[in-house]
Amino acid sequence: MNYALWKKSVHETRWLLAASGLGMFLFCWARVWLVSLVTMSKFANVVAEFWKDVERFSPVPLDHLLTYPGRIAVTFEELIVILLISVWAIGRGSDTISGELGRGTMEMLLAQPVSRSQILLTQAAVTVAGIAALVFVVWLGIFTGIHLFSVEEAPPAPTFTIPLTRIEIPWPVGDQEPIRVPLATKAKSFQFTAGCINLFALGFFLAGMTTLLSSWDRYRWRTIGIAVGVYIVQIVLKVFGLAHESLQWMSYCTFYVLYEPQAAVYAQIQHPRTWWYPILTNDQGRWQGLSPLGDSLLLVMLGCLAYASALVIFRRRDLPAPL
Amino acid sequence: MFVETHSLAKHYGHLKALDDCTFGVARGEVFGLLGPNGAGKTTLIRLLMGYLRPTGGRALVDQLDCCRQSLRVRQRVAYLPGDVRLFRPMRARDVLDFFARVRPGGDVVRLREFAARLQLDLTRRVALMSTGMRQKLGLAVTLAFDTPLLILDEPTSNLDPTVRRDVIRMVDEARDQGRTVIFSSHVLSEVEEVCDRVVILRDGRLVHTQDMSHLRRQHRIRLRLDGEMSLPPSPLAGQLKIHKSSDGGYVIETPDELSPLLGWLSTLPMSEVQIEPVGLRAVYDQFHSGPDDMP
Repeated sequence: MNYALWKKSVHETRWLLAASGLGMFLFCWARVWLVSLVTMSKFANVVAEFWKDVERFSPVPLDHLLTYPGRIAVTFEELIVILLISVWAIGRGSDTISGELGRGTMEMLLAQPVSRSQILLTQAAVTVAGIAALVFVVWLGIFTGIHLFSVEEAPPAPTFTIPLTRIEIPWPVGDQEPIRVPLATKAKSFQFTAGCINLFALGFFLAGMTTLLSSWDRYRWRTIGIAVGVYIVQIVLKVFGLAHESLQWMSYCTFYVLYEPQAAVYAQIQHPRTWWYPILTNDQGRWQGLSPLGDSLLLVMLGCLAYASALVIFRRRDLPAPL
Repeated sequence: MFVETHSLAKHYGHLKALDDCTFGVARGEVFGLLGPNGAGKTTLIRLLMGYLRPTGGRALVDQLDCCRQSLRVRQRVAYLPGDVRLFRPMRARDVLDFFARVRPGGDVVRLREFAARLQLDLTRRVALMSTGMRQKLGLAVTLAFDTPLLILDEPTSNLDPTVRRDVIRMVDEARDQGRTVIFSSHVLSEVEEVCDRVVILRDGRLVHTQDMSHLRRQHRIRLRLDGEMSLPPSPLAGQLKIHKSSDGGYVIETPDELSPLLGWLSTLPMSEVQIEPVGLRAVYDQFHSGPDDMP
């Protein structure tokens, strides 16, 4: 990696990163605030009405969705969060090669004793650092929200202890005023680690895929167009795959099926000791499939493969003269 | 030879952007590339820089292969592209700082000295610069590096006459320091002034190599005679090209020194005489005589 190139890349992208980071923080913080505003009983009533229709699409069971961590984990699937991370990953990935070529600045860059690998890897490092920063900001927004807001809940019923028996009997006292308790007593910020890792993996893969497209192209707009097109097709395949059993095969054709942050958070909460295992096994120790964290690792591996392919293509290709 | 090409070729399908190009540039030589747009000058330079992979043949700089050892080649080269594009969000001083950092041994003080010689405003953003100012910034970035080889692709395009003069002076200084320069330009007078040797390209092929010191000795004499033309003395007769011009006069082209001719010329019954250097234009026109060949 080259420090001067790193500094240049950071300088060029600082406003995009700052704006995305600010947007991400405010949205995640506000999203937790919204969770705190709607009591669990009201939320449960709303979900119960249409659960049968959407159950197929939910990666987690209803029991988990009706918990504060479950509700907060939906933040990872909100359009704004996915959009901001995708804009950064696709924007930066497309800029790596075809952006520099399109602007004509690659010519002067490669007139210096800088290898093509250095250029690509330095750009990739800035992109990946940006993804990590944005994911950290998501976590920070959730953390701040959890520690700032409180939720309303019914107070525990008063009890009467039978003397000498330690047996407690609820004491009927009629309707009680709800009380507010800190959200931090209902959800812990560390419970979202797996979701953050999954979001990072999605961003990393998208950046790698777009860099691969960028490595053989000379027009940034075309790289972005192809990347967005691929992305939309992948999402559509996932939705169709979930929508009906006969279309389930489509799920195997999309990387987007590996982005399941709610399931990752659920796994972390349900299996606090083993959630970081990349594969799932049954009681006999036989392979059952990838764990949610395994999905993230697979996305990262696919991203690494895309970066490696981009490196090979960029090192071997002819560089067109600026138009 | 410091720069060599051997049957260098770059083809795009049926299009031969460069074909069978062989030449050498000696250390300390200023070497000109001439030819109209599309003749293959920029392709040749881009092959030397390792931007393109040759279809055939090879190019060497300081005995290093330009394709396989491109990084080591670029340690020895400072290159100014024909179309200078720099980082638009940066100010000129940031551009200088960047290039000083990115090149090992880069000296930002020297870069700023060259920028001052070219009268650059270092506080201005690249995005707000005129084409000429960007060209000057590119020149400062290129000329300030103390590399053994300078490759300049149309370095004076978009520049005013004063700065053009400065650039030519800087190229002369580079030659005086023993640096090798490859100078591609459309401006024949500049090439004539600064280059030691020139090659002319046409349709991707190298069609002529011209030694400039030899060319500077060649003259064209236009005569109008009142009487008959006598034949030149025998040692000169085989060297001179004499032909009748359309206006009834004579044109004599001398291949070498003018002085041996003067005695014979004084014996001719001349009513008018005009002596001029042959110049690069005449050589160039032999290969590119169409009106669209040169700007």
